[in-house]
Amino acid sequence: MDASVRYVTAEARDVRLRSAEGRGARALSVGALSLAIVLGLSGCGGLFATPAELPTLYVGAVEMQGHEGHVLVSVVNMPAGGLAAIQLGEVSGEAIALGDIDPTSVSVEGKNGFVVLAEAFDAAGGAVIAANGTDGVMDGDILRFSFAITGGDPTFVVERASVTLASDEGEFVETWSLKTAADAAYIARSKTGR
Amino acid sequence: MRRRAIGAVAVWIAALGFSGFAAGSWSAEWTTEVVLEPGDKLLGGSESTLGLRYATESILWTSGSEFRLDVGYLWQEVAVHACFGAWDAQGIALFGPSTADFLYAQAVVALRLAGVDVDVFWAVLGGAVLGGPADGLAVRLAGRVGGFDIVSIAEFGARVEDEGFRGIDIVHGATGRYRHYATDPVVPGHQVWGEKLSVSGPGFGPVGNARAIAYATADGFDFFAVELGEVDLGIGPIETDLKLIYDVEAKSAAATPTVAIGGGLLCVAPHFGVYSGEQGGEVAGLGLGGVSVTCDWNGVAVRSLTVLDAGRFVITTEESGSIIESIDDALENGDDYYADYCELLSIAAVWGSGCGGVNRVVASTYFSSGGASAFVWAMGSVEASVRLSTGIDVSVELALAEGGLDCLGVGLTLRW
Repeated sequence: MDASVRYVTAEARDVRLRSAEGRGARALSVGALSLAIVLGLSGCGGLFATPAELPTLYVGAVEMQGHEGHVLVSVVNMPAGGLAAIQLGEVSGEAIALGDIDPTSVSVEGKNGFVVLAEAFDAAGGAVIAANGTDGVMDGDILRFSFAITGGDPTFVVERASVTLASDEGEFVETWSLKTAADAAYIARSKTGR
Repeated sequence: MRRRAIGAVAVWIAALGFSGFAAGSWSAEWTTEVVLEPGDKLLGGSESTLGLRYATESILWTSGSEFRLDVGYLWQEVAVHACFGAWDAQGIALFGPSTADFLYAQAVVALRLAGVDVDVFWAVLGGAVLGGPADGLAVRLAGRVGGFDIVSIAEFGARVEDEGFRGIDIVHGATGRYRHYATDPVVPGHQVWGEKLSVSGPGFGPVGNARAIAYATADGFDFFAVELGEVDLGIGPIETDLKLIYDVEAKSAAATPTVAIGGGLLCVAPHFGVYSGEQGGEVAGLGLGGVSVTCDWNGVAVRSLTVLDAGRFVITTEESGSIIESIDDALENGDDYYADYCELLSIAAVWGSGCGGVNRVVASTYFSSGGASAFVWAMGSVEASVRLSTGIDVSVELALAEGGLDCLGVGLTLRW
């Protein structure tokens, strides 16, 4: 049967089509809401709970801009309210080893509320103590090092054994991993805010 | 489970994309920029982006590729945006071709029905990204009841970008280059759920508008905020925004006054800081930390930012918005700032090119507060982009520092 015969007028055909579209939209809407409810209940059941990951201190690659370089240090999945203090070695026991970097040019800037309390850099390496007096950082940047590059292969290496981490709840973070750009080329950075 | 989910997203994007190939139109845009630096290494860097678009009546398929001289093929992003009546669906997937990794995918399905907006956000972060693997879902409901706008965001392992939360960046560790997305499946502490409820409405009395926001997570109450906007103080053209925040540990208040003159032509905004006393929690006084002055007229914007209390306030970088902000807020928000510059003067002009686009020039200069002099010139930059024809743009970027020319960038954009 020809379509022009099934509907008496074009208006009737349009009404019929709109009605069909309306039914389709309602069905889709009910389906979407049902899906949202199912997904929501699944979330409550733990389906979307991100698996627990070891607390990680991430030391980024040396980012070069001409003769200047930067290294960003971040944390991921820090426990007990987040990281509130970090000690990278001490004088005569430096945790940071530098290569092709002028140690006298190194400056350290706190990020996400971290304040640098003490820093010392010389030919033997570098040591830094920084803390956050207001809140812990669970995921995000904590320190940014800036320096002058003196050679073609600048390196910034942190020795894990000389690093001490403390949480916002006043406990030492005993179990954690140190990762660098060689372990993960990319890092997820959750932006802070309310 | 996660591989199946990633596969489902890929198939979904591909299906939506290829379903529209029957009839549509292609377009493309290629942009390349070369940066020259004086000194030992003349070529400071080079990057190119290639964007492809395929559009049908209801589906837009896009591809974005970024290449850098030092890394090679850095990002590959594919996206599909489809509209069917009251439905709107978007899917984005990001890959790192230089390491052959899947990095991130996001799907957003939106339905507008009977005055209620329902948006479902879903995201998955690949295992190659530090912080991943992770996935999560969030459902946003928005509607209007009795003159009040109500927005509810239910989080099931993911947070969604809004005025208060800034989403997620996927950062390439070696270059610091990043891609930004709205749905963050790496929830701090990896809580299973959270709920943010916002109610905003018209003003009352001298208050122009008002909003209340409450946020709770699986760990309990997080914060409650009340915002009063455009409060008329009854002192000439002075208005102020007030914000009061209660969180688990403290209460904080912020006032942002603005003086608008000439119907907004000239806008003056002082930035105040609350100074603590010797005792903890004691407020010793209120000090003026900086002043922002902006003037917009006929496509020309002149801006002056002056930091008066360099120990507490800073000017943020261009990437962080070029605003005056307290150091505490800059650190809290993760904004980059210039520690040594206390004055920014900039002028920006935008005008039509005569061939469908716009031409743009921005000149900025920074001053530092060094020595006996109040202001010492520290850095300057000029950026200009000009549309030569409907298919060709050229751009020039010049940066000057105390030592002379810092860098010169030349860019070319082709569209076809």
